Amino acid sequence: MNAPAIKAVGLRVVYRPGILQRSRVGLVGLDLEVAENEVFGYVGANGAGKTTTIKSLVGLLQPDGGEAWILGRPAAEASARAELGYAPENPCFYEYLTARETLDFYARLFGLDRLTRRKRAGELLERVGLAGAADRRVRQFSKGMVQRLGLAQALVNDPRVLILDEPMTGLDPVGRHDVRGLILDLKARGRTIFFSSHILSDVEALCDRAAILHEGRMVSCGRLAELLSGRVLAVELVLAGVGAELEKELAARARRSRREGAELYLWAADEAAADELVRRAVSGGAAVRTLSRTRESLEDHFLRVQGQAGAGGSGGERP
Amino acid sequence: MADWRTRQRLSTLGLLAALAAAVYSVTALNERFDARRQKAPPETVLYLPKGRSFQFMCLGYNGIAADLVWIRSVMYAGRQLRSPEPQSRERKYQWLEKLYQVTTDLDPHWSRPYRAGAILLAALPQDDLRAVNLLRRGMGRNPWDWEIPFQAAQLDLLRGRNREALGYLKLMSAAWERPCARLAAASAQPRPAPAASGLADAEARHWLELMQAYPKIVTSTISRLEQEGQDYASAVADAAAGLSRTDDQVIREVLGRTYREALARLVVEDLSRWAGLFRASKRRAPADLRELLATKFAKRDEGRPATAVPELLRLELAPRLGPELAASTAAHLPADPLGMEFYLRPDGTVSSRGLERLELIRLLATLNHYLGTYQQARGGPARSLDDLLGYLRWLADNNQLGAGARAFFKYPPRLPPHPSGSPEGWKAMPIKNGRLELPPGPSAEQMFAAPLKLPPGPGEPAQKKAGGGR
Amino acid sequence: MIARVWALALNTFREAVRDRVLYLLLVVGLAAVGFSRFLGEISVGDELHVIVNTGLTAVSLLGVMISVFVGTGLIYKELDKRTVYTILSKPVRRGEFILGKYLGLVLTALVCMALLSAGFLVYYRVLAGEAPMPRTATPPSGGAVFWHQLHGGRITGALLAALCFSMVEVAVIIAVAVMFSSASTPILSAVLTSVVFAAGRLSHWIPDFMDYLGRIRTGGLASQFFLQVLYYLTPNLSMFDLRDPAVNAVGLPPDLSLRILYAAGYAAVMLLAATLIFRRRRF
Repeated sequence: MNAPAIKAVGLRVVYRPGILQRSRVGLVGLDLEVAENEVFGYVGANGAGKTTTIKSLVGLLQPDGGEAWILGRPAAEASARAELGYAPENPCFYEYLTARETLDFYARLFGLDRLTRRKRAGELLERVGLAGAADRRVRQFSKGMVQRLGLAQALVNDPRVLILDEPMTGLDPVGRHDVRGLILDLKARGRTIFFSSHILSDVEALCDRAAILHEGRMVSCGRLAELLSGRVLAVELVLAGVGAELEKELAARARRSRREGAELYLWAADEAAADELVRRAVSGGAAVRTLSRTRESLEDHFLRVQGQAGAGGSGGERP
Repeated sequence: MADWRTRQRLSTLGLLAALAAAVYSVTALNERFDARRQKAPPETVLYLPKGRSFQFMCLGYNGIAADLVWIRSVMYAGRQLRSPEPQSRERKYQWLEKLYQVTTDLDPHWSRPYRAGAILLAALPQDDLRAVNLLRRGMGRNPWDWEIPFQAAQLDLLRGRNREALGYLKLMSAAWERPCARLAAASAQPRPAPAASGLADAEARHWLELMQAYPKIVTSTISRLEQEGQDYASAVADAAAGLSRTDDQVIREVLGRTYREALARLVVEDLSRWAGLFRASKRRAPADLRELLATKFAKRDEGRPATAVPELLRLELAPRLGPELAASTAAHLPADPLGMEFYLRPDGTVSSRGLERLELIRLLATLNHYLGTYQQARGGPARSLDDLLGYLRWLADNNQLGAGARAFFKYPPRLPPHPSGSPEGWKAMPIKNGRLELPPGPSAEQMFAAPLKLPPGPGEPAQKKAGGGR
Repeated sequence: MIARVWALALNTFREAVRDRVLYLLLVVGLAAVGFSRFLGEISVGDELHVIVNTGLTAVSLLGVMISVFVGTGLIYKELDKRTVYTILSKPVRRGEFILGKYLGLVLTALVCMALLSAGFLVYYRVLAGEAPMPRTATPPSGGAVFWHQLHGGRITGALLAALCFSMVEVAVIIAVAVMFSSASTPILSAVLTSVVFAAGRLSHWIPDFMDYLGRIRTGGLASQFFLQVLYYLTPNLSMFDLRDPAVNAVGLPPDLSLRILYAAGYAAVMLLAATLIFRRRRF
């Protein structure tokens, strides 16, 4: 019972597009572990291998090497997916079915009885905000509605583990807010959520742990708090009532400055330098409006780590 | 200054006009090709792959292919009837046999092409050999089908070949005794079939009901043949009844020919009987037919005043044919329905030159077929019929003589009697280029076109005639 | 497993039934059956023979066309449109997916063929009531009356059997279509399925060919072997052709259940091959 929700060891996937084309490595020796009741964010550039990883976990792809388990069961077997929910990036449904019929179909695949199916479909449609369009054909759905339906079908079996591929694509701000709420709600109920995303702010906001994938290799993985160095990157200072001479002096000491109307924006390299600037400003007669620290964001971390990985020559094209 | 909408409408109109022009030109071209096709003689248009490759091409959909070829054959026969080639006024039916062969190869258990095909082959090109071959093939493939030997028997009866007819009728009884699988299924199920296949039970009962009628037809025909000989009156009546029921050109032509031939034989039969009575009463043969026709006879057992033969023929014929028929034929008796004449033979029997010529035409067709075989086998034409007989004898002695040839020539192979009744008949017919030639005279087509009023079909007003009437 | 397969089959049926090609084919089939009446009128006395032949051929061809035109595209559409993503990520085995697709397609074809058969049988009964006795030169004998009544207008068990076995044949062809379609594009699968269908219908000629080769060329061992393999690979479709007993006075063959067994076996081979191919596919 203490098996991790998701586990992968040495996962390797090689793409062989054709006889005349060179094979390309999708994943190189990936190790992954997601504990139960965790929200795990999976981040990477386009083509890094996020979807490949997800497909290997979900049974759409047989990896060329390594193993994967869902809740202790081998991912390649159909039984592993009994408690799994998966929402693909751009889900496609049968256009002639209504939303309710679609969910009913998927529910049948889990062997749920008619009563449960009906109840579950109603609940899920309500939850993803499609209750009004329950009996409309999918053909008439907008992109956002299709995305929501994708989420709904992933929840049809009330899964313990949820794997979402770019769940925020195509959603308007309201939709994104709803999905974020859904994820947090599921976490509160003890579910495990694993999702890949480009939107780093979402990952930062929602996840307990995150991993960064670069060209098929995992280059960073861990608790967000540990990943981000916590280093102060810069300190931003906003002053008012600064005379021209004072401005020149302060600008020389600061890393960067900018004047906006009555206010002067200054950026200092660290806290000590910032303190010095504050003292000089105050003694020069200026008023301090704002003093804030900029820490490394996930985006900064991501770009840094990618740059390192790229420089380190990790781009392997042959297996 | 036209804006884009107007331009678009104009271009749409232009496209529609172009479309109309294209459709018109395609239709016109198609019509021209069709006209060219219709002018061409049908043989060049008719393409029929060889039997086996055709079956192959059908991908197993033999039934529909057989139907289509059969329909083609009907259309072909009709077309030939409508348009004889202008130069010879002769109609050619060379594709007919091939069509029937392909049809029966495609669907060997379908009875109708064998039977109807044989009727048409016998009636139109007067090719008894091929007709019988077709029927024999049918009998071989469908040993349970009694209708095929029945058809063969009917053909022989019309031609006056009673003995052969009897043989086929006996074959027919045997076919009946040999049940087909369906019959076997029906008779082998004395207990009621299970509920799921309720159909089988109803079928079996229906079968058994109708089977009662069958044996009587066969036994009565056989016994009548053995005792009294052929009944041409019913053959004429049957043909007349058929004519009155149909407007189809092909069927009318076939029935018309049957009608004429049967009528001719009927008259020959009656006249021969009266000639026999003449001899019995006057103790000499009549000098010629005119003397016979002029003689007045008293019908022995009826005590009626003496009437001349023509009157007697009308009086006796009418009841056997029915009043309408009697009326339609009486005006022409005893003119030969085949356009030639009845005459008295030296041995005192009456014969019809038309019938004799027809018989000769048929025999020549068969003999020429075998002469052709001789030529292929021996590499050169036969010089006399004795050559042919010698060859056939050799084949028979080496067990290579086919059943058809054996039936025709018997063993030891000899020529059938010459239709004229004269033993010198065959000697008077020389072989030229390996073929026997028909002595000058009318062709079968011309004989069947002789003036005679046939019973009209249901859709025709009473005055309509077939085959060039008065 | 049965519930999942059934859910997939039903879904496939619903999807296939929306394809307008089906209705077009059905209409063409009905038109052909209707037209056969006029063909029959030319055929001098055996009108019903033509009608029954046309009906049987139309039903068979309808099924085959559905297999080739609808069947080969269905799996490809699924993959192309990525609807498989949400299905195969459920606890559905690849084999169950294939089986479900197959059964759905078979159901579709069977329904269409049944509709055409019903139309044909109704037409046949109506026309048979009108059809006169075949015209013969002599008045019809009792036997001729019998044949007319047996073959004219009575829906015999053999006729129904012929229609049913057409459906069995189509079930085999659909299995072939599913197998090809799990591995290649619609056009290629359509071509290959048609080729296998033609080869299957002609497969019973192969022993004749082998005899012929054996007689004229004693050294043709390679071609003999090739022909032998071809004979066993292609489905022997002629064994599902019960047209002869339905239309002519020939009895039904006794081994009908064996033929159905062969069909099931061949379809199983095709579906297992499809499953093996499909398992290795990546999405």
